Amino acid sequence: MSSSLDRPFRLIAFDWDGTAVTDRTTDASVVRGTIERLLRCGVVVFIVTGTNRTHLDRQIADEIVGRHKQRLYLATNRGSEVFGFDELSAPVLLQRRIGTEIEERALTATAEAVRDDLAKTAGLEVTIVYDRMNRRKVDLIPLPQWRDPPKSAIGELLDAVEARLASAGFPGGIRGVAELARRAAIANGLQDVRITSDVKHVEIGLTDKSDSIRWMVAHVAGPAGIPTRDILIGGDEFGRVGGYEGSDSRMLVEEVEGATVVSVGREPDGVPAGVLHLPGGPPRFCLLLGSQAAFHPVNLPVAPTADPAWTLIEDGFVLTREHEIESLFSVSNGFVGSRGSLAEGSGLSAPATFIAGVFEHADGSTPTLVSAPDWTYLSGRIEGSALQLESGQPLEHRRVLDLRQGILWRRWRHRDLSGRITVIEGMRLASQSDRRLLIQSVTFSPENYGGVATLEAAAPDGSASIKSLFNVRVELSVSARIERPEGDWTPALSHVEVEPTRRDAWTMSVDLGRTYRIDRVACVRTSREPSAADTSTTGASVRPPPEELVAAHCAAWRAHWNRCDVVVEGDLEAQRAARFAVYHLVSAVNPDDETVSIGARALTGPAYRGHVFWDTEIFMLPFFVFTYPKAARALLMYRYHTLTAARARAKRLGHRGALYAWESADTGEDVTPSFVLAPTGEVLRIHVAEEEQHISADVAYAVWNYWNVSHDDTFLLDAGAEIIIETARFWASRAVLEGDRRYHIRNVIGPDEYHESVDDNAYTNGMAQWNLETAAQVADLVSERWPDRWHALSARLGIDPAEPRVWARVATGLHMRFDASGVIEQFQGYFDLEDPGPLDAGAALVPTDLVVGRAKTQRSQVIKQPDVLMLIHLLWDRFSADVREANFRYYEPRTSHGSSLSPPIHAALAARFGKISVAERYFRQTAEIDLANRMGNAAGGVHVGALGGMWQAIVFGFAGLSISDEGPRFRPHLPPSWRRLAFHLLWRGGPVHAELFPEPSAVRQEAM
Amino acid sequence: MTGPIMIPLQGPADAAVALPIARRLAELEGVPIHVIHVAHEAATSLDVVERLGMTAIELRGSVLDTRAGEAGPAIVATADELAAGSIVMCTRTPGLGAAEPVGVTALEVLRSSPCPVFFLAPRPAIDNWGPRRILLPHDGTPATSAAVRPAADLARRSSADLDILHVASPESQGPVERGGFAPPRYMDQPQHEWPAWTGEFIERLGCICDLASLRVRMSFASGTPGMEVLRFADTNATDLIVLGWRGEWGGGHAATIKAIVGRTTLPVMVVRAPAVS
Repeated sequence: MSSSLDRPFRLIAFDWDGTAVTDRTTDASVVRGTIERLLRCGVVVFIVTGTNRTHLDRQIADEIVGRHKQRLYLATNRGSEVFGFDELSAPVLLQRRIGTEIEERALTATAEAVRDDLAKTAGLEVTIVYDRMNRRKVDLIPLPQWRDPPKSAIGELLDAVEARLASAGFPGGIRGVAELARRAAIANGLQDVRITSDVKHVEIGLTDKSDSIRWMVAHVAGPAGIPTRDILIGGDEFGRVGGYEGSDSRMLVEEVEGATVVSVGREPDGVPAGVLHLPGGPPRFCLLLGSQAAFHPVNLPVAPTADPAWTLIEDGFVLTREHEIESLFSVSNGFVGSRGSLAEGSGLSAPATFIAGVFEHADGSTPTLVSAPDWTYLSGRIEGSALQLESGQPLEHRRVLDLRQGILWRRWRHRDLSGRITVIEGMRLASQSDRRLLIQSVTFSPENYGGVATLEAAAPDGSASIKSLFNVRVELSVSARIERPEGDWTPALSHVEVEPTRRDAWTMSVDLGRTYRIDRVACVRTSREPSAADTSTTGASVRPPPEELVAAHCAAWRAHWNRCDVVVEGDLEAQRAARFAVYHLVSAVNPDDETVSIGARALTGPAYRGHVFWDTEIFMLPFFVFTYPKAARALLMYRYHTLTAARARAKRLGHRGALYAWESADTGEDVTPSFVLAPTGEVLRIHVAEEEQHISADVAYAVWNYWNVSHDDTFLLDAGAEIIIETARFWASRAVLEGDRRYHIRNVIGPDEYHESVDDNAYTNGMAQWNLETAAQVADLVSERWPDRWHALSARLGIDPAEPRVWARVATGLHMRFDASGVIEQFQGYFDLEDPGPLDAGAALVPTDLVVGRAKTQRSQVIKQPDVLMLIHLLWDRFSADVREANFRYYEPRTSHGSSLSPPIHAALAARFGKISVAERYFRQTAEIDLANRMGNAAGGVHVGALGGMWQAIVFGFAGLSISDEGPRFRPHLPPSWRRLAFHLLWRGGPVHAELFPEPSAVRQEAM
Repeated sequence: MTGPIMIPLQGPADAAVALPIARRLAELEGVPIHVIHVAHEAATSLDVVERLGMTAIELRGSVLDTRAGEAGPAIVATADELAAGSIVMCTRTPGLGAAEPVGVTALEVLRSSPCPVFFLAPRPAIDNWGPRRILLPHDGTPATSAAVRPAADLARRSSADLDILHVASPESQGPVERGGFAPPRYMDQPQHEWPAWTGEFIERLGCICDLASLRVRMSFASGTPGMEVLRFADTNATDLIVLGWRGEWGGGHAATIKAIVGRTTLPVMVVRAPAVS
């Protein structure tokens, strides 16, 4: 390599045919890969050709998609046109020289004069090519064997043309014809004619390559501040050919004086002064471009976030912890979620990719969220030796969940059994900008060796049909690309059959100290989506490079965080826990799909089979209502779309209205397993499906809460009112007026599932009462404001005009017992149960019912989770301060927190009561549910309901948010270590920014 | 276990208890039996045979080794020399009182043994003993996982069922080691939590050795671990209990082993965990 080429150039301009490719039929994939890498590294590429754009599109441009293509220019038709590309990668005409009619006639006249002169003076037959932009071509050798000579045959072509001219007695050869043409052009009025020759032709034109280069300097290099010394010009015909100057010499205009110029052509008569001659043709030029690409290091598409307040870090490797790590470090976008498994696998890896709403319905079994074929597998072999954490010595191993960017990172420096050290860095994400894409990018660098490396990657079947009730068809395809320092590359691919999967395998030489990268993009599509969506990048055969896909994903996450971030200053652990919660909540939801909801473990693990519980509406939805209303709406629409099943369920039980399923999957039918064989040896009959009916009121509560905060009237009229009314109808028929002239709801289970088949559970009755009252309120609201809609709705649902009054009457008459101090009895007879004395439930390792047994627990006042207190949490303003506090004093010591949903609600309540140390304790307990590294709780997926509860603990608890028609108000009770708490909310379409400080309680609240 | 099975014998009573068990284990392992008798003064093999109340025919297929000196150190040294696969011995000399769950010699052997020790209660031999149901109590910590592979290997060789029992103690502070596995702290919905917890426990143990080819049953109990293990063994026709041991005995350590070994009539295999760095 010449020393003058031993530096990176910022702009590379070159001739295409003969320089970059042998001819127009050549497979240009290698040079295209290198050019694409140069473009991605910020280098401007300016391609100059004498012909039109068609073959350039085919050989290079059509295969490049992405913003980097905006650095690619095509100067076509020998200086007459320049094309660039817009941000969607579509060609844009930037410059075109259009000849006047006079010029066109003069070009034709000139060509014909040359033809006639040759015929007359030498008896030589030549032909004219007319259909070229701004030029005419005189074919000096119109013989069949020379119809389309390759560039490589230029020597033979030259000899044949010169011989033909000489044998006809024409003096001066090609140069003579060119001079003849010049004189004819001037005679026809073309003072600035451009005469060029590719040996076969003499071309008479209005432009040549000098126009391309001048335009480049004026419109590209100049505005970009690229000096001529940073410009590299390449071609294959700078020297004379047949005594006439080569076509590329026209690129040597004074505007690029100082640029480096290289010819890779044969140049039989040598090159002009100042031009480097590196003969070898296109292969040599590809090496030259490759060496330019190698000046730019191979990195991952983006850099990881370093701020510890935004990262969750797992150092080292403990095999038995893998399932937990996989859950916590999942990447998900609400459509598809992929567990954070080690790409190469381990003894305990359980890679899984879940697609929201795709359930397997094996005959007679409980519907289960399907795990799609694994796409994440990627492993390396060095000289045949597999890179495995469990073989050799990991010198460094760190995994980082980058909450800010929604990316799972990994850095692994490993010494294998032969002493070879390899550094591997990788990232994985589920795109938030195009939900069907999953992206994996991995670099590997041989630190102390060179050799042969083989990469093996999962090659899932292009289409995997997964049976479900709706016969949802799932297609998962993966594309891969390898990047070397010299440029993108697609090495020879082979396949490895590893039952029951098939893997792609690439083998290549790797050098010490260099870095290589593999990018894999998986695309998941289901038959549920409209085919129109295929116009996105997902459906395209060519995708933008990972840099752009990742940038778009990161931008989407920035937008999420701008809406949803919770800032806790002064307590790093609390800050990290809060963002962990927000990360998984945002990751769990797809605002564009209203046919799915969020399962108890979201898309992070197989536990709970993807089933949807009240967790979504009561624990998660407030977060979405206040920060991501579109997502909240989609989640509630899932309940609307499953209303038919809820109606059928109520009817089966002999009631009116709608009773939602305790566990719901894709259809809304109840999918609760009816029993379980516990490892205690007991066969546990599961009663929640029949008895835990508060779910219907919970859904109604969420609907009203969403409307109240958003004032999304369209939703209320199209779906929300119907849900509230149908659930109220259920309660109106479920409650029974008894001899005491009170309405009773018997034989239910409340949130405290330790006590089954109880009568008048306080939470159930309280929420039913609210549901009935709210339905009456909705009836009034809709009939007054939208009478036409009310008529239509009441006609469709058969609502009797007197029915709302019945709802109100039942609500008023529902049983609710308070003792003298204002404590609400959790259910009839609860006060008579055995008082267990204060529990130290926070320190307990095992839920109380497991320690003392179910029967004994049921005889005691020990409760699993807040029940009365849950009612107070949700309907805060319905109870006096005295009643609220009396109940907290009574029930909190009796709660064993056997549910992960319990600690966050206690944290919220304690904070609202100003019991800050108690609130802090429960808050930390909530954080530990998933983040404690010794519990194993999260192996089957994160507890996304508890994470929603954590957000509520912060916003309703520590910040003391309450809402009224006047808007949000805050009464903060911050832990002393929290120097500042800040977050955004959306209130009826407008953003509100809250900033809260501990002492003295201070609030800065701004409408934004 | 590939080395010989060592049986320290002092007299006819412990020979009657230990030999049938050792023979069955030796059959399963395909290894020889190495009988060792330690006395203060050296004795001839024939004298020892007589002292053990045995005949030469009964010792067919076995090696008889006599050593002079202190019993515990001599047994351990011999096990070292022979790279013994296991030691089968009574917890104390049959007929003597039981102030401690394990006698002095047995404790010395346990403390220093290079291989697992099968403790046998000094009671009449169990007829037709063979490991058909093996009970592996496991507290969820990596340190106690040392017992998993020996238990699984034995289950595989003997086609036995393997019961894994996790006992949650209200007093327990839970595992503090990374990768430890605790009882289900939250039981949001038992119909989902139990299968998930059980599966996770077995899969974690499956990292240590292959369990998939065995009949494995995961069980859970709460209470005092020693008593719950004994209760489980009584009600589930257990033939052998396999325990992991961290290597500490005095004070409040090894409470579970002491409770089990001191009370059970079943053979108990104790596997010492490697020191945690």
